[in-house]
Amino acid sequence: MDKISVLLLAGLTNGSVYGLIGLSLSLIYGTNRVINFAQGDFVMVGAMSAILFMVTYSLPTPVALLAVIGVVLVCALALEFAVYRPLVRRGAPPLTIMIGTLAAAIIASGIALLIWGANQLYVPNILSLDPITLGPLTTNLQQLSIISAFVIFLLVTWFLLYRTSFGLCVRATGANPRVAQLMGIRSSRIVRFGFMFSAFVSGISGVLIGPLLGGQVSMGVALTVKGFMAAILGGLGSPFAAAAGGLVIGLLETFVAGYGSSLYAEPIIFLLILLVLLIRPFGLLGDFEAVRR
Amino acid sequence: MNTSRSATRFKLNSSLKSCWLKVAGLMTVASVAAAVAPQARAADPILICSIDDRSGAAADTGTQGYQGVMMAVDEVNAAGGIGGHQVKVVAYDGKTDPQLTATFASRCAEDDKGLVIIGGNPSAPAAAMIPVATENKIPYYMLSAGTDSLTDPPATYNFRFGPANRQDAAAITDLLVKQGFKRPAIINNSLPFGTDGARATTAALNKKNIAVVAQQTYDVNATDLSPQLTTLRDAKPDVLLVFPYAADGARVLRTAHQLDIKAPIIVSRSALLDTLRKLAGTASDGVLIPNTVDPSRPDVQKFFTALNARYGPHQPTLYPVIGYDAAKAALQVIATPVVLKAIDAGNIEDARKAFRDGTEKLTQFKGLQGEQNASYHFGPQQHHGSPDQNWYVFILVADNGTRLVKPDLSKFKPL
Repeated sequence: MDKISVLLLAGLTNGSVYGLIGLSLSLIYGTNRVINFAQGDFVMVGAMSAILFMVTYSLPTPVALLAVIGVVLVCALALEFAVYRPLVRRGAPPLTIMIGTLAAAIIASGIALLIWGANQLYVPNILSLDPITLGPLTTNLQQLSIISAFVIFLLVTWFLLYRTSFGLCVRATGANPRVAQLMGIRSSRIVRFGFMFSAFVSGISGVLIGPLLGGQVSMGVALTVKGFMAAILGGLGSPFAAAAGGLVIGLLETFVAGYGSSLYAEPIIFLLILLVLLIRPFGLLGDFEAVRR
Repeated sequence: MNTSRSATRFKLNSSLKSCWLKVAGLMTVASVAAAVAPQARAADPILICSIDDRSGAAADTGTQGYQGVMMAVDEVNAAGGIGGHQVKVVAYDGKTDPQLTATFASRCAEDDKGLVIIGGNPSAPAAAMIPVATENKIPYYMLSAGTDSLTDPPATYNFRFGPANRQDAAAITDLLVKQGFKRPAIINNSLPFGTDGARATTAALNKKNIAVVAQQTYDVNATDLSPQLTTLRDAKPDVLLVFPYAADGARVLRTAHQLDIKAPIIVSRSALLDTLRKLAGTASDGVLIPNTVDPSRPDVQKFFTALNARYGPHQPTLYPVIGYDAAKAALQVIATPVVLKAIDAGNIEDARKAFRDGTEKLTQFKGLQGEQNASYHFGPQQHHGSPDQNWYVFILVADNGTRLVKPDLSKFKPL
């Protein structure tokens, strides 16, 4: 029982990381049907900016956090104005825009390499890394903060989407952008919101997971892949389904590691994703997307 | 009419004269050029390519290896070069990307006309350069890439200066036997370095009749490693052996500290990297690491004093030393008459072949790795230079991971 509790907590922590990136990916996809391959790089920018503001410039933590948020929001706007909009204006299909975001991710890594160099860097922890014992479990505040952030962002996203008129506009744009535009919704603003909110979620994720993973300019790629796996497994069309996909992957990874070996975790997870998609092509919770199509 | 004929003759004579003058001038220029050419060739720099991973996951190792190469090359250039040639390093950053690294190796062989390639710390990009070196017949000095199969069997143009994983494993096993450990547990990442290190160590332990009580593998991007370490803790090992990369190694050590695992810990050579110890902080204190550099050797101390003065503070680890030793060996082979003769004749193919043959004759090359009396042994069937004896010096992490010190092994015993 103790072992199961330990595995559950570890699975929730790992799953929250994947879930946060899956949620961010899905937020953009929900507004413009584009998969943002630079999503993991927002996490990287969040982690590396934390080093810049908290270590290099020694700013107080709240000021540094605001500065980090500022940086990721600027990056989101840069991605929208320099990549997304010009391609949309020229009638590029979603696949081309997706490759555009991949190019942006590579450029972002290159710029980050010039600023921070190639080495893996220590990202300062906002919360304590000292062990906390909760019954049979041992964890630390930084790890718990990842799970908390995951829950908070899920609630905020739910509130925004289902309890505000703006959220209604977002959902309408996601369901059918053309009809939404005919109804007077300015879809360009909705798309901008998608880029900025998802960058905000990813940037904060970077600050939280940076002290555990270490900061490195090429860390974005692996995180994008994991987030993408989460979104596909859960259902790309809904942020909540993508987040749930992240949790499932995290728990699976942990239980396979706990009762088997991590060496086989990824092939097992991919096999499972394949099986799920054979039965439910739009993901475990992808009914919304299936109906939309 | 006569006037016009004589004028024509004059014109013909004068144009013939001018033509002869041009021919004579061209011949003079050609003969002067022919006389000067060998001297100009003799003054051409000798090109060495440094292809390593100075960005990406293994950036520390590549950067330090490159720094070691530059130290050796600048020393020889400051002393006047070799046979009238300065030595020039053409450096490429392979970004820990095997495909990109192989492309740079081809570029070095075909476009740069480099004499030798030096580099290769992580195994995957290092392995990618071997077929390029074989195909282009260009000698390749591999640095710290540890996977056993990289030089076993030996490829014609590939020579390794760093220790192999099996040697790390044997050194760790010998230490465990000597110190009386009987219940080791192993944790490794799922990358080739981790899995190969764990495999080699398990095999070495089995040879000494020591069974591994538990083994766990983890994904390098997992945030929480407590499932794996809880399983290991439950197996009650008397020593924990870790085969990680830098950032994930720090996570292993922090989690072990968090789970209050009291067993002594040995981390593979990746803990020699500053990054791992910096990220792990106090959790890395007391960890033992197999190193192939003896900090008590005066020549090693002198090297690190010079390295620190030039590139900033470094702990005494094998990464810059392997780069330095490889470059020193290359410079020694270049200085042999047969290699210099081919270089002076402008025949790069012959120079590379002579260089390869010369490396196989380095049967007693003394470098900075190993104990004071140890030396590299290369030969026709021996392209892995590190010997099995007198090569390892264990080192202890201290002062919040900031320092590597000589351990008191009398305290490194089962609890």
